[in-house]
Amino acid sequence: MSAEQHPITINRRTLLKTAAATGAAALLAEQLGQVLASPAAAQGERLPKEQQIYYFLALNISDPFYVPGRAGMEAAAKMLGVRAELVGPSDFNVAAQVKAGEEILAKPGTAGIFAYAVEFGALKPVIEQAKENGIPVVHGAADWGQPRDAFIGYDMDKFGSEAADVAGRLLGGKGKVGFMGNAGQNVIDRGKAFEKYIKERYPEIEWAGSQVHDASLAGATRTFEAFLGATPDLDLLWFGDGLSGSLANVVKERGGKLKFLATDMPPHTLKAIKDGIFVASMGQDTFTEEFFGFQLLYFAYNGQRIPDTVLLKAIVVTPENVDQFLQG
Amino acid sequence: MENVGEPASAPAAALTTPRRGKLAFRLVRSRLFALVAVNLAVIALVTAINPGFATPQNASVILINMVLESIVLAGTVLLLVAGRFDLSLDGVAALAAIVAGKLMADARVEPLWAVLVGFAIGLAVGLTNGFAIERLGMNPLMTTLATWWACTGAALGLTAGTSPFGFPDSFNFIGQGSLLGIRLLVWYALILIPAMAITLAFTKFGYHIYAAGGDRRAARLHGVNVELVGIVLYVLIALLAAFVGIVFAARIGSASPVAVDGMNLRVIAGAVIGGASLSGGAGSVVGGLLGLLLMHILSNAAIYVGISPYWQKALIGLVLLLAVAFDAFTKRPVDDVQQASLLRRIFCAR
Repeated sequence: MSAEQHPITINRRTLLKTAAATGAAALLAEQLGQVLASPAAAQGERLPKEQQIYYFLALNISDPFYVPGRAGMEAAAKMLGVRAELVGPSDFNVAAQVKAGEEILAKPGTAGIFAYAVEFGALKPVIEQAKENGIPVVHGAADWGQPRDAFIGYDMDKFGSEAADVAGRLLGGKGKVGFMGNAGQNVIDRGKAFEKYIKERYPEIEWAGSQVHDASLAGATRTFEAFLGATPDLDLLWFGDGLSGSLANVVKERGGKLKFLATDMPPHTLKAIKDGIFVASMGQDTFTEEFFGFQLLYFAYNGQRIPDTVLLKAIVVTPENVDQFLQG
Repeated sequence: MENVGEPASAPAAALTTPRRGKLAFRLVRSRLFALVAVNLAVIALVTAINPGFATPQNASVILINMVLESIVLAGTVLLLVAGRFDLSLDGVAALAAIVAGKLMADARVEPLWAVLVGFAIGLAVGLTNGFAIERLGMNPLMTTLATWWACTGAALGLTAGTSPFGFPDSFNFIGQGSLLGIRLLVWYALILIPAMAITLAFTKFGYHIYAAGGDRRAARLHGVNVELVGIVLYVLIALLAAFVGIVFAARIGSASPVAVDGMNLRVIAGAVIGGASLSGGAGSVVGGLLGLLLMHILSNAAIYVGISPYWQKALIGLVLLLAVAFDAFTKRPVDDVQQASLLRRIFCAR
């Protein structure tokens, strides 16, 4: 028998010793990891200002939607003299967002999390762990309830209601409308609210239905064109997420009577309104949301009382007022 | 009165019927026939539910939206036939478009130079993939996954969420313009796809692609430079991805890191449905196109039929599974078919 063919032999005592040692080492490592990962706040201490890092935990962060919000975050951090970072996956990968959240918790300087949850159930353990570690959490975009320190942002029901009124005004109370957006829970919620209020308040407006796209530009274009093909008499479409600005050329190419109501205020959306391609946009002022949201985190971490809920109102950008946003 | 429906005589019938049957059976068992039949069946079914589906306008929407993917699909078929695959395409397309877009929008570089830089990115990624896999023996899945990651990350880093837009009209023309009343997008496909299909089916290089994907050792013994074939194909597919990314950016007037997300898996699925083998040595561009067409018809049809958007993906997946099952059953050896269950015999239309 050659050397390679010798079987590995181990007696029961050695096996038990090895197992016990491995278990003890794993337990020690876990405890040590928890101590190292626990921020100073959990131990009743606060980090000095220059070491405090506040995180904006989001997903699909390549969306132009985040540009003004990040600017608001950076403005708040600069004003307060702390660091702030936008983290999360560049697509709708909830698992990757949870992983990014776990990584934040493991970092020693974490002083607060501004959370944009799409699947709150998935992110909840991260938020619970943050609270256990003494890290304040403020929810943005949509309020998922406890556990959290505060919520700042838009009520999706109200947002949908405001969009319904904008659509009603633009159509003079008559016509056919539809909704389209990505599969994010807040987008779905605003779409449902839009449908509800259109049906309640505008009996002469026919509801054409909702469509969901896959969050890529090519996918959004495909779904948009198929939706219009299936409902050629559509008078108004509310495209309920930040990709709407990238569809300007497709809308222009198609022409016709369709009124395209966009969402948010990235530069290409504003330009499309200025050029008369979009009739209006339901703007979420994410600069304000993040500017004040990060201040809430800072105050909470540093032991001051903060309000439970801060609601913001949608900004309706129209050809009449678009210049002031383009200049801004 | 003579019954014209009957054969003239029994001996003649004995001679002719099996031949006709064999021809019909071969036709039914042909993958292309199966795919055409499935596509037509879906079109007929959806049109019966919503007559607005089978209109020239909707056909145009489906074709325009699949035309760029079709170009990448043709290259993917060549790659799969050679026994290779590439997962970096979405990233290459995004990075090439964003670099070209930023050069034009931010640095005011002439569109021609910006496009050439975009192609240079495709060339660089293709060469990286090709040399890493063919010369260094690195795992193709991990290598192309890594380059996809690197390209997507670089695209994201360069934009930081702000997609470049406001390109010159001369650039937008390559995605929005027409020639002789036909969209340029269609012209690209009409030129590139037949070129690749002919290369695969009728040229020495095409023979080398099949040989490289069949038995590499045997191919080498026959003088085929298997590694060179692989490198050329990785470069070709990366250049095609860069081309598609740039043209799509011109079509919508902005470049985004998520512009064509999901294209890579769709074209691989389309190619495999169309008969390309993941282990190499088999496949055709026409089959791949029919597979991709089926996927696009299904996603378009789901909206026409009024299926809830939350169920559309599940339904499309199910129908694709049935299409693949139909195809697999029709490709079973005859002896197996003869002994198969009633269901299989129904599928084989015997």
